[in-house]
Amino acid sequence: MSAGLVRGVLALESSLIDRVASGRGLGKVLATATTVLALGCAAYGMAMGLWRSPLQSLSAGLKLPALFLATAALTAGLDVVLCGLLRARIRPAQALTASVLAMAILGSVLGSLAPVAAFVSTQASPPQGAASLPTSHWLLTAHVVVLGVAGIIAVSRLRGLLDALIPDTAIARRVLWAWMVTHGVVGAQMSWVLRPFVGNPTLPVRVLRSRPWEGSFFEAVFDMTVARMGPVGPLVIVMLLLGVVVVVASHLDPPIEAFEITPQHIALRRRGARAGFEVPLSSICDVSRESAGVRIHWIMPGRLERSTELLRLASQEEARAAFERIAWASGARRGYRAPS
Amino acid sequence: MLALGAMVVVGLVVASFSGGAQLFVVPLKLCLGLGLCALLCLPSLYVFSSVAGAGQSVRETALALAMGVALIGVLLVALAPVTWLFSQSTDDPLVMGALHVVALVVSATVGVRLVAKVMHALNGRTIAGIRGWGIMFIVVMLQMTTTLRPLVGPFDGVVPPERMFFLEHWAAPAGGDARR
Repeated sequence: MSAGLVRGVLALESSLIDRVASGRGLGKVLATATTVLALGCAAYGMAMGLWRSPLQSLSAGLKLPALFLATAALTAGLDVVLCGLLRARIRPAQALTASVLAMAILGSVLGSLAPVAAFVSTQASPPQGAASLPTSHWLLTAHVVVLGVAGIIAVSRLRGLLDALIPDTAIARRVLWAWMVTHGVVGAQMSWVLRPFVGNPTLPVRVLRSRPWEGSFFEAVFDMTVARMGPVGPLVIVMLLLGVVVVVASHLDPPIEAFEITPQHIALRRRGARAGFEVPLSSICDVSRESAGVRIHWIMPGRLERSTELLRLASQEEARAAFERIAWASGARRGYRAPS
Repeated sequence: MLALGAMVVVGLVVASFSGGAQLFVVPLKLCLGLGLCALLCLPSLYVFSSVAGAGQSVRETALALAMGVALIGVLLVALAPVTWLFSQSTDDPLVMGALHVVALVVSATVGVRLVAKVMHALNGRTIAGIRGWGIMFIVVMLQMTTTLRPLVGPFDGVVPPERMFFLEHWAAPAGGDARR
């Protein structure tokens, strides 16, 4: 594990992205990322448990890296399958490396915050039975916020990495959201199984609860919302989640910002994308005009799925000109549909 | 060295409110506190900036932070005559504590801005996330003022009798006689 590679992981340098994109030497990258993840999470875990007792600190220092490593291991197969289903066209090793690299960034952020977390843990009122429950809840909330911030940073870096690996930004975003959901669900349940991390001051210090597999994180959230907000609590949570899903869905497919017709392809680039992607003219099976836009449909050779994309233009005249150029270039005049 | 010298001066001004043993203890506590804050926050500054795409080394990051800390010290020294003036006209440690905290937050904000500017100069572009890191740095400094208490009030031992979070400490100033 070289210092240069560690720095490359932290900064997600372009040389490292190129290495992942080319698929060369991924084993070394994976090993470095896993080490960074384990060390960073161990440091933060120790800081989390420091408030309760040295044993809790040691236990959380082992459990926090275990949580993330287990999440990575349990979701590895699903990550690869999702890439295939979403047509990401990246190799399993690349998908796994990208996923672990994002977690390594999360681990490095957590590790860097460990001294501050340890300082706060040693300065909070010491655990003294039930009287210290508010302090333990406060500390736990603060740690959850820190984990959330570290997760957001990691996801933003993963987004850049996926954009570099997957030419079509829309597919890259679908993969990103799919991974976030799977990692979030599995990670939340793993945190339930491996609890406690901060430690309950009314219970004796233990590495794991007496029945760690009993119940689930989501049942606990359900019970808590019912207890705090009454029977409408879960409904409120579901409505909030649905709102998030709607917002996410509306941002999954950024529109095509530019296109260029070459002798063999149409090069398309989405808004906000670092790079474009190409559609072979020979694979275009239908072209139609829609008001101030042109819709193209294509089927890649050897594939079953039909893809479609709407090119938005500034005016109907521009749309008519673009339609003529694409239809002529692709020979797909049979797909012509006059605008209503 | 500039920061440490400045903190000695600031410590003397802060301690002038109570006098006695505090004149020796508070400057030492402030030097130690500022140094500890910088040490605690250096790893996160390096990692946050690296994750944001900065390319400077750990040494350069430490230098950028040292410049920010030195500026905080200089600003606190510049504000010292104002705080000293108030310390001579009031005998309420709450008022003095609040005044010192305001001076600290203002100085720290300017210091964090300098750190961001140095990072910009080192990398040729703005590094995202420094402001977020700055908030954490200021929170750590505020906690340090509680950890090292009493700073304004009379001498009550070098180590505080109980652990306490700074918001907790501020929320109960009457009971705790504001030993900030």
